[in-house]
Amino acid sequence: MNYKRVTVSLPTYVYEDLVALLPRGGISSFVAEATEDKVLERKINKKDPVEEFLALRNGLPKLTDKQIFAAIRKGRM
Amino acid sequence: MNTYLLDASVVVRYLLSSSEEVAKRLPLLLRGVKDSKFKLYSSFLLSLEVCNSLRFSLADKQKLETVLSKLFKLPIKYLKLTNAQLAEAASLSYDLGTTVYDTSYHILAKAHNAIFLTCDEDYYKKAKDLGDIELIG
Repeated sequence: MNYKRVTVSLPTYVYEDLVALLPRGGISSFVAEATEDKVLERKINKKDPVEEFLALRNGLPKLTDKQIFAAIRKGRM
Repeated sequence: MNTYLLDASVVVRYLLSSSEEVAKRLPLLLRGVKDSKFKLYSSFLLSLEVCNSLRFSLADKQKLETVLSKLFKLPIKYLKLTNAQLAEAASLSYDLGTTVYDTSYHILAKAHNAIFLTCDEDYYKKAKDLGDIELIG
């Protein structure tokens, strides 16, 4: 398999976790495998994320505005 | 290109109310972003606030998990408040008699030249004179 050397930026805390969890020299293969998984997931799941979200409305219970704003304000007070 | 910033109330009301207006408007916005007609922003607080609201509205934990997994994939750019913006939101919330949460969304919208879209009529009445705000009924 051919490899391409690239520069990527990671949050510092993620990089520190990788260094702590993986053996020396293991970061590239770990990141390659994780990226392959994500790319495959995208290829398999070709559903439109907007339409998937919009369809959720039909399967959820309907509440009054009073109930909805009471729920929102539970976090805002 | 018009830029909008979504309040959590728009998302929660889309999901849980039978309001026709929000049922028409949010799909137009999200599909418009996909077609590069609009830019859609929100506060980094949005997913937390939607999550908390659904936690107190839905008895079924799995439904909440499903909504969250779809919410995270929406084409919304999340913005963080700078320290100066937070200070401005806090000061303004005293003047308007509003919460810092509500006001922080509005400040983010103004800072990014966006229209703040909310379903919260109480906040709208108190803050409409600031401009750059639209109520979705």
